[in-house]
Formats: sequence, structure tokens, C-alpha cells
Amino acid sequence: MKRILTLTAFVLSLITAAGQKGLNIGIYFSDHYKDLTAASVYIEGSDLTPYNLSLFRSITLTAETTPKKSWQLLEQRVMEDAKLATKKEVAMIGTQLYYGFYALPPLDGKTNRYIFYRNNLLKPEAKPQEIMLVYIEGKASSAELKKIFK
Amino acid sequence: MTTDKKYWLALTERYFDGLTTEHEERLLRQFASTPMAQTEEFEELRAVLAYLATGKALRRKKSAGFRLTPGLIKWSAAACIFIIGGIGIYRFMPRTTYIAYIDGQRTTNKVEVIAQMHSVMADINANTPTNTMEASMNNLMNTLNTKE
Repeated sequence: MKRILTLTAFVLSLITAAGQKGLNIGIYFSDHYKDLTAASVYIEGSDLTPYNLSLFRSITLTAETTPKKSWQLLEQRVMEDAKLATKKEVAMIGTQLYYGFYALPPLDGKTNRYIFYRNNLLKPEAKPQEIMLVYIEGKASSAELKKIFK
Repeated sequence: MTTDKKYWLALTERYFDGLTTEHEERLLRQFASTPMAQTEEFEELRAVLAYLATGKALRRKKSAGFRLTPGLIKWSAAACIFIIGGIGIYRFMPRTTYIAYIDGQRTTNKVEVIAQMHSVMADINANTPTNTMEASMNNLMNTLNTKE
């Protein structure tokens, strides 16, 4: 009986401990934002395994659905998470982030994480007038992504 | 069962003296329900036996509610393991989740979601200062689309 209870507790701890992300941008991929975004995508699972990826998330915010305060807050959260980046490619317009590509430290030591952000609202001539945020997880390194998907 | 009244009177006396065996007490209980015992001589015996029988029945009723038997424990443990195992298998079995929100409308259609992802990556590739990474990710989406 004691062994059964110990095994039960162990299995339950495995189930509940999975899935913690801990990034500031995580809020944009929650259910709360599904009504505010123009479009969002969430793919997670074994179909991405052949490409050494496990998760793809994106949201696209338009000028119509996103007040300036909101996208400035988004930018702040991206830049906050970007502080963790081990690699980055960034372009600024003035003091604001136009686009950024960031490789974050691996989750659990082996799952790489990437953030891509682009804000076309900073360029009136840019089309489409959208803010895009993409988050990817997977075992592929940035170099491997280049090789795998050429 | 003997019909000798003297025997039963003697046995009754021994019962009240606390000298009877279990077997003899069982015989007395059986005797108490027979016509021979329905006389004044055995009235006290019947009263005591009835009182004891009632008390026993009440005690049995109180303790009969819920009993944790070894069989119940084993089956409960097996059920717990089965349920937790099922949750674990469901949680960890390979599967892919496809969800997209487009203009507030939710879709889980694999083709639609992949198309939306393809659109995102094409947008990045076309409208961002290019580098190898975006081109590579766009190729990823093309490859997934071809696989479908």
C-alpha cells in the first residue's frame, strides 16, 4: 500500500510539473488574448518533431485592435525577455524596437527557444500594418534550423 | 433437541451461574423459541436471551456501515493506478495540437492552422529585413505544407 501511494504521488508530480514557460510574453499566448488579436497560431506536438521543433506560437496585432499603450507594453515585455537571449538580431527605429530575433537559453537544458518580433506600425509605409510576435521551441539550434529548412 | 424439561431447567440454572459452554448457550437460544420454553419457568431466560440478541443486532448494524477490507483496498489501489496511468498515457502520448484564432474565430482544423502559420512566416520573410533565419523558417513552413 505504501509503495502504491508513493508511485501515485510520483506520477502526479510529473503530470503537474510540465508546461511552465515563465516568459513575460507568455500572456500573449493565453486565452485572454484570443479576442484581441487579429490572428494567432498555436501548433504543438509530434508533427513538428521531424524538424526538431516542438512548439510554434504566433500572434498578430493590428493597428485597429491594438492601442499604442498595448503594443508599447508588448514591446517592453519582449525586451524584458530579450535580456535572457544568448543570440540576437535587432533593429531599432529611434528608441523603439522595430524587429528582433532572439535565441533564449534552452528550456530544461535541451529545448531551444526563439522569439521573433516585428512592429510595422513604426513604419507607416510598411505593409501590413501589424505587430507580429512569434515564439518557437525545439531541439534545433539556430544553425540547425538554417540547414534543416533550406 | 431433548424434550426433558428438567434438563432445560438445569441448563438454564447453569446459564445464569455462568457455567455453560458456547455450545450449551446455542442450544438454549434454540430452545427459547420452542413451545416448551413459552412457560413462566423460562420467562427470565427468554427475556435475557432476547435482550442479548437485540444488543448484538444493534452493534452489528453500527459497524456494518463502511469497512475497509483488504479486497476493497486492493481494488481501490488498482483503480487509482488505472486512472492515473490513463491520464499519464493521454498526457504523454504523441499528438499534435492545432489551434488558430482568426478575427476572433477559433479553428482547430489542421489545414487551416498550418495555412495561417504559413501566412505568418511568408509575411515575416517578405516584410522584414531578410536574414537566413527568417528564410529558413519560411522554408520550414513550406516543408510542413508540402508534407500535408
